[in-house]
Amino acid sequence: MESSRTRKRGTGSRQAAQRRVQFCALALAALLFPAAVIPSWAQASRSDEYQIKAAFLFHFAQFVEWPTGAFKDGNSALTYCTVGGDPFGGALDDSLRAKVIGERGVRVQHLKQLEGVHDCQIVFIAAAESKNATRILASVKGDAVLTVGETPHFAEDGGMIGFCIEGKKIRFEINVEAVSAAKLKMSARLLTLAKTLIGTARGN
Amino acid sequence: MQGRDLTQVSIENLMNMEVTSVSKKEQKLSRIASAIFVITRDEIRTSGATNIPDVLRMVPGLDVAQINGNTWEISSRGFNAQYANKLLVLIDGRTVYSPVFSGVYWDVQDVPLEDIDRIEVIRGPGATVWGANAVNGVINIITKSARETKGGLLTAGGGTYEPGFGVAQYGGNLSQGTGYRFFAKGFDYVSFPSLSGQNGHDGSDLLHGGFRVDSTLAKQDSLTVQGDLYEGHEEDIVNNTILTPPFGEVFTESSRLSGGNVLGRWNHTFSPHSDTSLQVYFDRAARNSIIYGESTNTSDIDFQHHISWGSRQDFVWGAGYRYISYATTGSVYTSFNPASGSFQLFTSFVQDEITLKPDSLYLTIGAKLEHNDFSGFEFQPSARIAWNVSKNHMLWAGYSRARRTPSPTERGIYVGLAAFPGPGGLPVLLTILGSPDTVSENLDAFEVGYRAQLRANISLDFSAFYNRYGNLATLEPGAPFLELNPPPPHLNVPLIFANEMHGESHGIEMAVNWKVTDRWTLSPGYAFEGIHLHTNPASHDTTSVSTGQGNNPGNQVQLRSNLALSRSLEWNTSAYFVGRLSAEQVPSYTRLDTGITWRAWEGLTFSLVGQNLLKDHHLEARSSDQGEISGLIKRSVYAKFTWQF
Repeated sequence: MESSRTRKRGTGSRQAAQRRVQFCALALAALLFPAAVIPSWAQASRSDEYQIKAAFLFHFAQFVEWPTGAFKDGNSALTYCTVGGDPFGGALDDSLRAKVIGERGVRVQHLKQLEGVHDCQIVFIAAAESKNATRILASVKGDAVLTVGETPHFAEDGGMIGFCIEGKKIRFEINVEAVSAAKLKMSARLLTLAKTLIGTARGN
Repeated sequence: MQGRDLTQVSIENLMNMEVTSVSKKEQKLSRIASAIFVITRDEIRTSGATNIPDVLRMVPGLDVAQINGNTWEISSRGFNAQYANKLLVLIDGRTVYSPVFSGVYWDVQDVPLEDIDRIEVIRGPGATVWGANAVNGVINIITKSARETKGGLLTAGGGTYEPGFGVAQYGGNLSQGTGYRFFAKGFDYVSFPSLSGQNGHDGSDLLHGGFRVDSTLAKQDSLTVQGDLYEGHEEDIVNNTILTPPFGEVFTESSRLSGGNVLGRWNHTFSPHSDTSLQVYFDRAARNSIIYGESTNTSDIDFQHHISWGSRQDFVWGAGYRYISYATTGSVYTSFNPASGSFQLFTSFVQDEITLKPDSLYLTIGAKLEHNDFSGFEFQPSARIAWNVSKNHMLWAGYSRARRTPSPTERGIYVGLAAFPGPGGLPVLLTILGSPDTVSENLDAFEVGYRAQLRANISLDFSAFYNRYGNLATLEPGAPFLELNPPPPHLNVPLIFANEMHGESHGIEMAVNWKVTDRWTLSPGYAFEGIHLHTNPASHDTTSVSTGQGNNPGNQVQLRSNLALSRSLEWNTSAYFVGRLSAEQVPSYTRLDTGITWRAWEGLTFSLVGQNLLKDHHLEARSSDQGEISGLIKRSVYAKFTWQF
């Protein structure tokens, strides 16, 4: 016992120095690699941006009523179209495959040009198409087409539903004037979920 | 996760889901055949920096050195000096490079950091869209549109280096489609110690106000009008040369800094294949002290037309005119000959991006043709190729020829370096003199790069360069002559500006972005630069080779860490290692900054940031300007709050 105590005292300073070095290394590591020393928390549900947007597009169609003239007949499918760039990478097709909305089947078209856009009931304009957004909106003006986009100020500039991201969560603005100009009817439930309504007293 | 169908989730729950998208930054850069680094809003915010030079430290390949409390040297790929003249710096398209001293006065480049949308940094000769003097790089600071900065913003804080700083801003809508903002901003820096440890007398303060209006006038047109006005003061210790005993004096001078600018930009879209941009601005910058004063007025008009032909050609051409008038007041220590003057610059460029293979291979060729009053016509061609090897990997390569035109400094400066008694009681004055015979420096730059999304959470950006320089500035001893002015009569022993040096530089830059977990991102970076210079046989310059070779830090390593501790608490740390500057005898140093940000309520955040934490003080650079005294950069800490309403 005696000898081990003496041995400990003798090597104490070296151990203290080693401990100091270890502590400094750990402190420096903690500053630069903090997650290694901090336990992880339970995390909120997280998913890819375009999988979430595809699911929103599915729900939007359930809150909108198209006039009878918008479809060829009672059996024709509800058609979603992306015009120009397609940022979904298959997520829109996967989300809408074999779905039914209000007794109509659903199909997805990815258009590279504007021809064929008049067969669509919902048109999605990607952020990459910001230069062409005005032209695309102009070409479906007057048609019963729901226009959805993600370029900044999309709804302010005449689009019907504009996505934006706030603090990592997806929000949307609705331009109710544009919606009624297209003779579409939108459920109040969707309007209450919108971050801003454009074209009414509320919001802008 | 692929193909996961979220349509079963209710719309209310969709609104609670958080997005984990890969940084859009990498996707946008997939066709750019240049060594470009985009500093995002988040990177500015998490850096803890309170001024633009500190934000720029995170770009591998940029050399940022703080000389003293109010002066910085910044360059790209070497040749850093207080009047680093091979870097073009723009704020919203307005050049802030001072043409008289051929450098940037960073102490008055003061943009509210909360209003910056992004900073695009191109190392290497900028694409032909930029002009002469963008020899080693371009920094473009782009502010947010007024339509994005609505509401009130108030920030205020104080610390040991900056006892007070703050921004007050308000933005709103003038009508649907037209947004505005106006702000007032101020800061106060205390002085750092000089090399001997005494008070360095290099404090500064600035008051700055500005506005911006953005309007989509019609579906095809958008208009931006913005302007700034600032006034400030700074102190400096000056080593002044005088022609009577004791031939030198050291005193503290106070400078007044002031300036303002107004800029308008009109974008018009003819069709999806054709759009134009017209920009006009006026800028005035002035600084005055006992020993030197300078004021510069710049008027600039710039036009660009972008056309896409068919599916394979993307063509931009442009033309511009700039008129600069300047006036200086000087002393024995510094003056210009002529003391005031004006000059014009005519610019034009064309650039074509050719799609050789859609979604895969792009060739961009272009040229800039300029005419300036000093060196006549300057032609700068460029050819670059971008190859998207696969969806996640791209390679690029490029060749550019760039020129740096001589400035009023090389052409007509008069600097009294030192004086001492000479033969027969005649004082001797050692001087640096400009010469109207100086010509443009030129550069042939060969670059390659690789950009990859290595995995969903790791991206890599790599570039390498080889630069060949010619006609680099040197100082040649001239024949001494008797000079009567400034009195008393003295013997002027001059070093005269010439262009008798050539050489090469080479290096690599690497930046990695690694999302280690959903809450933790690490950004390591590395840069290496080596420079070898030689004087021409006819030259008798003895200093420019060692200065040029020894002014770059060789190796620089950095690591930034961004951790979301919880929903409302964020912890950011940055570490920078900067290698030794052999010519200036500045040892290598490591800088460590760390900060905590607490989101207390919706729109209210508090931050506590420590900077330069590792040592009480360190040296980053020695000033090349005899009058500017280098200082020691001190450890500092600050606290601030930001309230958006």
